[in-house]
Amino acid sequence: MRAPVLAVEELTKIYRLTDWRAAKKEIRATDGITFQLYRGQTLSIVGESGSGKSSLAKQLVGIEPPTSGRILINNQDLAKVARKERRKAFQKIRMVFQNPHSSLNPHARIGATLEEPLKINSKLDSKQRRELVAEVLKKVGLRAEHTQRFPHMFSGGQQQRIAIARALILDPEVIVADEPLSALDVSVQAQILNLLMRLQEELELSYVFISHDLGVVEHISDQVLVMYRGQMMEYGEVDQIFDAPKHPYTRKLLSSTPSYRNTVKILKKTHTREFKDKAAVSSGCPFAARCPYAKQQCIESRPEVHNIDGQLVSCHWPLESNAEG
Amino acid sequence: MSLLHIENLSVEFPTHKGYVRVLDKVSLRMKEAEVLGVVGESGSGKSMMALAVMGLLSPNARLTADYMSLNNQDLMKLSGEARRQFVAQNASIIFQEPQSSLNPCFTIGAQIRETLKLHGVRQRRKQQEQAIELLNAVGINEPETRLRQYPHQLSGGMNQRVMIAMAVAARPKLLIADEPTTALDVTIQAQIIELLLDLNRQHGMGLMLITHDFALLSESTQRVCVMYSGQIMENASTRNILESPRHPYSRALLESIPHIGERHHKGQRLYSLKGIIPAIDHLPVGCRLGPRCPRASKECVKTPRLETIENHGLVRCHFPLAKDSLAKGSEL
Amino acid sequence: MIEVKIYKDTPIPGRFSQFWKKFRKHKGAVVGLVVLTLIILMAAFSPLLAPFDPTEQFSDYLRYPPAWSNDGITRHLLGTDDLGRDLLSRVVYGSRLSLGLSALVVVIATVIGVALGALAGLARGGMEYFILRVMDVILAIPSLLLAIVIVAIIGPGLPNAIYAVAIVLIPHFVRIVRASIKEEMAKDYVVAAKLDGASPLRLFTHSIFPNILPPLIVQITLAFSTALVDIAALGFLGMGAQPPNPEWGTILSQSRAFIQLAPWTVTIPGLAILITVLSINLFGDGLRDALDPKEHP
Repeated sequence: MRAPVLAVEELTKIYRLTDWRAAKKEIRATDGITFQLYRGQTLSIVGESGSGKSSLAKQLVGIEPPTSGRILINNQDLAKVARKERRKAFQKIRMVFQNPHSSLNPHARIGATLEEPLKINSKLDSKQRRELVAEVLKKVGLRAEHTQRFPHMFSGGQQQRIAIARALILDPEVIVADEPLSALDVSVQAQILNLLMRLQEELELSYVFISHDLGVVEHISDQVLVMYRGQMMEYGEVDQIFDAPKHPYTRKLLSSTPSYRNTVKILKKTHTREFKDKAAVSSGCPFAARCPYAKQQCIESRPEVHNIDGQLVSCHWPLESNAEG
Repeated sequence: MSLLHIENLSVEFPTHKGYVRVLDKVSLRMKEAEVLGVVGESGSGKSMMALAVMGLLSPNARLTADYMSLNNQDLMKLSGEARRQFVAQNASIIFQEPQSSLNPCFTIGAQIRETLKLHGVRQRRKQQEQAIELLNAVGINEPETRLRQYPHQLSGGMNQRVMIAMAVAARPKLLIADEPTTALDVTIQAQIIELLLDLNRQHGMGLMLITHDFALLSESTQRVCVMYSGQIMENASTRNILESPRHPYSRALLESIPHIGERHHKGQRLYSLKGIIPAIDHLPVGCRLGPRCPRASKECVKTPRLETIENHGLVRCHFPLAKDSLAKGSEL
Repeated sequence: MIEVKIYKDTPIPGRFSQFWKKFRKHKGAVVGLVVLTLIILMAAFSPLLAPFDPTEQFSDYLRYPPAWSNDGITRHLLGTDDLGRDLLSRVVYGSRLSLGLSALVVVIATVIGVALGALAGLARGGMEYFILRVMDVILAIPSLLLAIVIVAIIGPGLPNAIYAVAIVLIPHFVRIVRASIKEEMAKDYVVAAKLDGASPLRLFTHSIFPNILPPLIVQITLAFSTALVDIAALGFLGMGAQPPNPEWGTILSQSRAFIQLAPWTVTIPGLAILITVLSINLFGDGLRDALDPKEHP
């Protein structure tokens, strides 16, 4: 079997909070996340706010070190890389942020922003750098002339193109995109999504695509990983997840997402049990409090991961493919 | 009899280049207890229309309309205070960010009681009773506890429920929900929409649902109004628009958002309009979609009018799409 | 083959020309800038502009009023003081001292303030806490009072007055720099620059510093006017520049005794201080408006 470009093993990040009463709290932003991403493929991380998907992105690109677990790029453990090689290793995995407006330095011309990674990480001279910048700008659908402009002279969609260009300029293999569409207008979202797909084909990129929009996720992904409260709920091929969700949470997400293609579908009466995020780590399944199928066992013990035809489900009672929700 | 009736409503704002028209001759009618969807991107004027109806525009805005009535009362004939009071009794509005619509310094209870006081409930005991009743009605459990809590102690979905409770306190005939679920998670979004529809069914309350997401409307509204750059582009029944949009913009909006349940082959491109939404002070000549429209031709430099298409609705386009062009998947 | 021309766009105005376009619209600020420029020129070319040496005494012309009054003579345009020194020359030479000293003070305060502020902004924990608390202590005492206390401790004289006023000004710089750094650090583009592999120093010079420059520039102009007034005040109280130095505050204090007899000897240096401070403040206001990031479209 092919080796994955990016492999993540048991990635865990624990934040320890100390409040004024000196009571210590632990928040597990990600808890034992494992996945593999292959060349030219897209893995989507799906979850609601507070699910730890953004924390996962930060750990992948090296903004925050994980508490435990390993991140391997081309079988190279990022934590074990020697200090000197570290920068080089992280060139292979680059990030695109949610808000293009705040991710570009407002006082720097676009050209300077795009040349910056090259100045730091390569030995190219100024002419070579400019040529490379022009080339990358063309790839994302902008023109070389744009280098003289400042970020505020561009629309949100164009700013996101520039942010993508910055991620591309070091010739990475993996791009981590944290909600790259959600700050954009609807009619512009499609342009950026198409651009991401075109770049993937041309450059054989692999994406870790973080999103809450299941429609977009189904469109762009090869694999989907569903997270809840920092834990993996379900992980599998896109068809498996969307056609035959085995975890009650995935099913709840899918049934909550409105879809205009089947107009007869009526929103299911959902339980209004809502719980304000409780930081305490429960010993059981994190979804138990909201799960319509929860039993005593779900509150007491954390479910094991079941492997059903390659689809990983973290649930005591995985749903049958045709079970009614 | 109509709940809301607007004829040629325009709103203009002063800029250093003179007045800029952010809402251009919008006309629409809502029947009692109707659910109307308003779809548009940012800058389409959809929120501006809601604010204009509610009388919440900033004082420097210039509002003109041929006719504007709420619950059969001509609003243009009322002035100042009378108009404000009438609108407050008959219509309410909720916004996108519940956290910023609630005052962080006061408890939920204090804020609901304040609203009730404004609607003439004077006794404190009565206020408390009604507040609990309202929270029950919007599906918040343990209402007594919640009333003593502050907005930051509740989740976003919970706060939006509180906002809805306050909005329906006076039993308004019309509730305008301006992107009520955009800031919320999908599972919560479904609950909030369900709640709004419940209120609509139980109390016969008219609902104007403003959103950028067509999918949200498909399950809840009878009619949809598509707006772009301050104009209504298409106004027809939800079924008609979803099955066979006649305006190129409506269709582009429908096709540019991938929805679950559509099977895609790997790498399939989404339909997308080229370019960006024009700045409101720098609109193209003629049809406002013109430069971005794949069907644009010479004719489109003339401003199209909103015209009726038989068995469909109103469409503002010189070259409306054929019926069923969406289903057949023909080129735009 | 067509050569690919890189960077051929119509020139986009840089930061400065964008700033200038906005600044120009602010009438008061432009007037302030013009007056301030004139005063600076006056300071730079004092030997050419002043008719006499500032300490030269014309013992026959004690307390002559300005030229426009009945008893005035044109040789002493602004009159003479009680020792017969030409007031115009003293004020012109005084601008050197007053402006020069203020500039020196502001430079010292800016360098130390930015360094401490950057340290507090980039470091966490003990160091940040320590710097901030020390600054709080300094801020808790009224600025002029503190300057007087410092001079009282280390002794009167020009160098000590400079240290005293600089110390008083530092906390404002520390606070503003630290707050701006904290604000910028949280933004995505700084994180993005970190991901580009920028070292902490490069991060500061390339990403953060250009973005905290606008508030810093505004703070510098404010500090400049404060420094001018404080130095004059110390001079007036006899704790700064010592006579016969023609520093404006010192001229004021020496002439105070003759306010009834020769009011112009007090009025004219007083006006010099007023006009200078006013023009600096007008200029500073314009700067703040033109540099305000919110104004960016």
